Amino acid sequence: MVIEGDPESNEHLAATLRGVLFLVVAGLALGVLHNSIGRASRPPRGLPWVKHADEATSLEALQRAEVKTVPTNGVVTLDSATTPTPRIAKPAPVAATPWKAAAPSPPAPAPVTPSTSPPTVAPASALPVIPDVDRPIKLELASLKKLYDAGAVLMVDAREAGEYAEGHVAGATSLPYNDALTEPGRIERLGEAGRPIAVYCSGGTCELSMDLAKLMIEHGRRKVLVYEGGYPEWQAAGYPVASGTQAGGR
Amino acid sequence: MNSPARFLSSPWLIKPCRVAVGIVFIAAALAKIGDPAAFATQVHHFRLAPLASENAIALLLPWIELLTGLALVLGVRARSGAWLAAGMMVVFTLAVVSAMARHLDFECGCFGTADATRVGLRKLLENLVIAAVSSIASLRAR
Repeated sequence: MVIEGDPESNEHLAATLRGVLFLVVAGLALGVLHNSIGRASRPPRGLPWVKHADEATSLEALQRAEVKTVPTNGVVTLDSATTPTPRIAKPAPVAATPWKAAAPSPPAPAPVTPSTSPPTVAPASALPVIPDVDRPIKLELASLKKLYDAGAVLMVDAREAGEYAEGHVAGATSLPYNDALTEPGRIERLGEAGRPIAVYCSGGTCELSMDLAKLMIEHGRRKVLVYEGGYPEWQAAGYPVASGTQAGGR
Repeated sequence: MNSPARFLSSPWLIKPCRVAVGIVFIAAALAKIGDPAAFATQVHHFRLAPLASENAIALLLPWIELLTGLALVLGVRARSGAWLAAGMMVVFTLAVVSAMARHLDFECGCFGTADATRVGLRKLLENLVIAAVSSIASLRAR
């Protein structure tokens, strides 16, 4: 405590503040040294100093950059193996269910509470094929809408339950990121039935969708899409929405 | 000096407070230093710091905590360590309050991955107790 005019106290305070500064600077120096040594070691340890937003694969970029068209029927598809590197060019079966025809997935666990109506069949040639990779794949509204209209995607809302109840993509399942962290079993019970999962939140700077997508992948899910436009963009486009705690029909 | 002030500035109270807070800070720091990636994830869960700064926080903060704890336990620049501890506890408590206000529910990460306590009332009370003890530890012994 400073006592005005008490040189001894003021000197004590100054010494204490110098000590605080010393501890902070020494701590920072040790932290820098420790991580620098770790990153220089083989194999490298430590973390990059600056964390960048995840450069998730973009479905549209993959298609633009690496997809080849097939002259015979114009079908555009991507390699569905574990690498996103495309190879293309096989005609997709017309009558098959798109998500099976495009990229077969291992059977999903039996859903406890299927949240969407059975998907309808759409022409496979119209649908983007989702690479079976172990990282989130971003996609844009147009691609998502194609999958949505075909019933070839499970929409998952990563926002809080209250926001979901106020309004959500019609047919979307609510799985708030925080709930998934607390209860990972809910990821197992999504009931996507082999379809890709598209996760969204509030758009803009909302990170919940990407965080939830990563969590899903940590729990063994593949073909996890992140729709960064989120609910605001979907709603603004005039696409089907619902309110309340139920998923609602498409 | 009245008796409460005399009691609070007693070396018999301040020194044990410093050692106790020091041990808490050392334990918390070592757990975080051992797994910076996990701590960076826990920093991210608070959604308070810019994304780009999360790794730097996870890499540097535990070392400041460690030196703070050592200063308190060893009695070297102990009062400075106590001030720093009290300051950090204020920041940590505000972070917990902020997370609670936004209805976030995740593991605090206050002791790295060694502590599964979730952000909530219990964690808030823990922080308040440590902050109070740190405040006593920051007093000048008479």
